[in-house]
Amino acid sequence: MDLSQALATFLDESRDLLAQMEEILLRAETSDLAPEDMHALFRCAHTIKGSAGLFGLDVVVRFTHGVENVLDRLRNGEIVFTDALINLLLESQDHIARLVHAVAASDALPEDEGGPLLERLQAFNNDFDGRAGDMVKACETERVEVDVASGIAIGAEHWHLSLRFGPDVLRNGMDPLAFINYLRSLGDIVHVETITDAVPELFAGDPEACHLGFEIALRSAAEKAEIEAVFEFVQDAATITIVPPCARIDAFIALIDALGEDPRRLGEILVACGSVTERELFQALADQHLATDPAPIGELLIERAAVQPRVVEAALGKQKSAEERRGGEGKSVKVPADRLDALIDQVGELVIAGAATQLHAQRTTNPDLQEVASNLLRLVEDVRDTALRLRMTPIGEVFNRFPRVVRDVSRELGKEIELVISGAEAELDKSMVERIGDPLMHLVRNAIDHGIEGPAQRLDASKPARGTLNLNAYHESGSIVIEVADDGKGLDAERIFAKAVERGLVAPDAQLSTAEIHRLILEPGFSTASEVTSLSGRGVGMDVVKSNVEALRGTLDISSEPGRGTTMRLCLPLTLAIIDGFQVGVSGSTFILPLDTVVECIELPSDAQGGGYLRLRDKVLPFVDLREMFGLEDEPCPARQNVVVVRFAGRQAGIAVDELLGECQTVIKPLGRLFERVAGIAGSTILGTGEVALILDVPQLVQRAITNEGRERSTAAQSSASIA
Amino acid sequence: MDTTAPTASLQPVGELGIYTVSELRDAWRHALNMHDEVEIDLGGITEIDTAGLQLMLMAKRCPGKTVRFVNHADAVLRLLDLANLGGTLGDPLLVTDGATHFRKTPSFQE
Repeated sequence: MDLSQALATFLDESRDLLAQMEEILLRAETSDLAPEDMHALFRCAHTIKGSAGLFGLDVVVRFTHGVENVLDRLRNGEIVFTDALINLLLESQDHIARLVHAVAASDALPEDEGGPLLERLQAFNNDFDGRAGDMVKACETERVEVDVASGIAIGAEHWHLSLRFGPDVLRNGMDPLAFINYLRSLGDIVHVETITDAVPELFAGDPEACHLGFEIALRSAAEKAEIEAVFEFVQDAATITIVPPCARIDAFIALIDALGEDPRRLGEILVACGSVTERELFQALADQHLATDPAPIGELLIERAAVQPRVVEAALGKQKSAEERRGGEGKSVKVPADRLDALIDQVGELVIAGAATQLHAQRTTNPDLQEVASNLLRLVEDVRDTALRLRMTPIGEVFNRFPRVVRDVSRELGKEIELVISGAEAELDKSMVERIGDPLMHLVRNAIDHGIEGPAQRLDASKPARGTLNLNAYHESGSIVIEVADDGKGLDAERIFAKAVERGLVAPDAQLSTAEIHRLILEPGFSTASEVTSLSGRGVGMDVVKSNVEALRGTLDISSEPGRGTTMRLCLPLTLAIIDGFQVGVSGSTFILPLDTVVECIELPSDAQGGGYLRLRDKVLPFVDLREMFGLEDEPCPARQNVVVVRFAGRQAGIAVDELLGECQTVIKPLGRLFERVAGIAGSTILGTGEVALILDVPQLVQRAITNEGRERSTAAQSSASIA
Repeated sequence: MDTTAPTASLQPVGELGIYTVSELRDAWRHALNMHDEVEIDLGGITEIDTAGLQLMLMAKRCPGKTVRFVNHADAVLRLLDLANLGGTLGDPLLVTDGATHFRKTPSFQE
């Protein structure tokens, strides 16, 4: 396997695990964790450590190990969660994330920063180490014969554990294999050799007496004390020898001596464990006159080599589990984003070609051709939908980072804030998900920083001390709406207006509606915070959010009630590539409206011509006339004009056009830099006929119609004209 | 149990551990007294510990008799994996190449 590919998998996996850790830790702040959560927490750190070990990322291993120890103690109930500990663990989790990030970017690992954290983590381990330390001393003087002072150095990089259990171990309720299983929490068990030589025949022996021994190769970054601590309860009833990594051969010779078993057989087992090499061992044994004939490798090894591979794997159901794993992987496939983009591009071309085919078929009088053409178009539409769905990702991916942000920021500011997330399953295009993160982050920080008051202030306003921040997402007419709502003090219209005047954004005598004043905070260079905090209020906030959102063809709405709170409503199209369009004709030119925004079509009442509003079922509907707006006067105005009623972000407006041409699939092509700023146009497309049509920017048109209406109305009021 | 058949099949259920090894040993010994070959179906084992594993090893050491373990439960497989004894105590029926995974053994073969 390609190592870089494996590394990429490790990085992905680590990010997931870190996110999981964070999620659990945040939960630990508010409620008691279930045992499964404690285990999951431990497993996260443990898995990262283990995988990092495989790639030789020692810095990661060392640090994660420190974290893992603390999590282990938590899991075992030796220590409990405190605020300080949760904070420390979150910081540690951040540090691991930094390390992983550095690995991904092939940067130098920021090792130094880990030191102080590790020291603080160590504080939670101290009493444990003290206890284990005493035990090590006792063991070392009495039984553990490890001498690394002399002899040939050998290269095995794992611990070697030699365990011989006394006969009463089982009867006393201890389970040696459970201890060995527990060793997995300290590292990877490279090899286990069960010593069965002493096992009696079925007819002869006592099944309740233990006759087993184990030789274990353990790759672990643990301290010797930790390994010994695993066997703390059986140390009196067992002979336990622990040989550290890279020990000298003498240590193993001493081990063989001490056990008093057949040295050749034991030697072979050590070789099987990979703890010593064959040559080293037999050399050493010969030197010690323990083995008289330096024969080739013994039976055990031959036997082992013969039975090992398939038989064992099959017997253990490893094949089965491997298949299950493959099955799990089959449920989702990782595809490079550029391939998906290429597919979407091609589907776009296919849509255009399909529309052209349909058009030409309709011009013929061949019903068969027309039928296959419409069939083809339907299939192309299906392909388009499926292709676009490939890129859909739940918005929750973005929301997930906010619990932590809210927690950290609110602590920093001394505010109590509860984050409520809903609609995390609403989907939108992957490219949108990536680009919406930063604007959203800004809105969230703004809400915490400027929106929600401190506890004292809230209590004064007879609100609960704990503020609420709602993150909500839902689909609405081909768009996704994301709301960031706080129950804070709301926007102060007077202050905003004063500030805008001060900054020269509006004239001091300007008459603005409250909504218009609210929108002033989106102007470049505007900031309402009197004091500049480290979080926001640097004056580069909301206007950047606004332009980011607009770059995604979305809108940003503000509604705010003094004392009640502020809601920022982001409205974004679901995708950037292909839409169902509605074609309209104005003076010989074709325009396209996104079909999702079209509510209905009506005839333009004759008395409303040129005006900014008309009456629709007893309601006032503002509208724009495209003829007028784009100055399209090449052809005379037809006797009958139509109005397409469109809706965006909860508001309706009409668009007056000459002809209604019907639905069509539309591949959005960017307009290019020159036309980027043209008002009312969102993009272009190529029609089946090969003509170019402009795609109307409905949000902008709605906004324009409403602003016009405001103006018209004030003039209308002045001239006391009645509404149509 | 048909005492004339050369092969017997046993299906212990529940725990294969320190609390049950004596009892199971007696049952297995009884079967081996009457048959040369005993097949032990481990599909019903829910728990196994070191004592249970040791009993399996003991059963393999029965001069003149053959004990086969089949249909290992997951708990058993996990422990065999841990102890690296899959080669000794694994299920021989699973490895026959191309053959269907023969799990259910008829109780008696005439």
